[in-house]
Amino acid sequence: MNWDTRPQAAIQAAASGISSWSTKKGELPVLLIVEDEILLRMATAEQMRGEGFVVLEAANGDEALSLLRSYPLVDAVFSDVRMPGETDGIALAEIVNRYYPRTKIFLTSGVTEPPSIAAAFFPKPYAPNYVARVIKDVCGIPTTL
Amino acid sequence: MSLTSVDDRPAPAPRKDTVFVVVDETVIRSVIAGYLRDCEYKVIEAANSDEALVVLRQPNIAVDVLFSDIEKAGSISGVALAQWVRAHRPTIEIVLTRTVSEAAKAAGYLCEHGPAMSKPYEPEAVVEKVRQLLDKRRS
Repeated sequence: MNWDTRPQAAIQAAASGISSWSTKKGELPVLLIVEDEILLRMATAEQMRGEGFVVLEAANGDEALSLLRSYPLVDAVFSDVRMPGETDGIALAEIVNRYYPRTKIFLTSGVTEPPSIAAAFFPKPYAPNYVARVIKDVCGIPTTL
Repeated sequence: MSLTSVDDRPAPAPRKDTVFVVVDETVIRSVIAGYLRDCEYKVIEAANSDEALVVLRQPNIAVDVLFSDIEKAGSISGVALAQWVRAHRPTIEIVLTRTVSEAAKAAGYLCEHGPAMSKPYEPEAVVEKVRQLLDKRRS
């Protein structure tokens, strides 16, 4: 399965260096992690980099929107539900579903299971390697990167 | 013996592996962190000084270089954060920057002296990337 379903213009933008970290990483899937608990975010981000993702980190939903506006080519968003700021995980999921249709949203929470607006939900604590496997499966990304 | 020529670059940093990037502007932080990862550093990111202190208070999390915005980000400024690091984690090198171009220049310098011993691209490209991303966000 080919996970890179980016529109041609987006691929060209990525190739020109505007949207990708660097041309050598242009082929890797981009995962945006949104988590306000720094130590958890740090550990998850590190594991996801080990899984082959280019990982962007946001400390809350508002930061996530800021990154999405700059990097619309994000393949998947993995977000906590409850976060400080104006945009919680549910609001973020609604925005992603509406305005970033090629980006898949995945939610996690230790408290509540959200309405079914996400591609998958992971109760906390989660196993990052399992989360990575599900994200790759849903996005059609090869398991080994 | 002659004096060495005046050099405004920071003193050479030893080759170290983990850089902790503390910048509150998300796009700038991501680009700088991405650049340093391209230079083969292990990079930790924090959005503000409060997050930074949570990480720095963990003695088991190794940090070799603190790379922070000098301005206020969180409840204490970059300067106050640096003072805390000097007092409590004195082995950490500190790099404080004021602007995007200063940050890019400092990151380029770290790359030259980092694990890869080279820059993946020039620091000006980092500044340009930040500018393009911010333009895109505003458009």
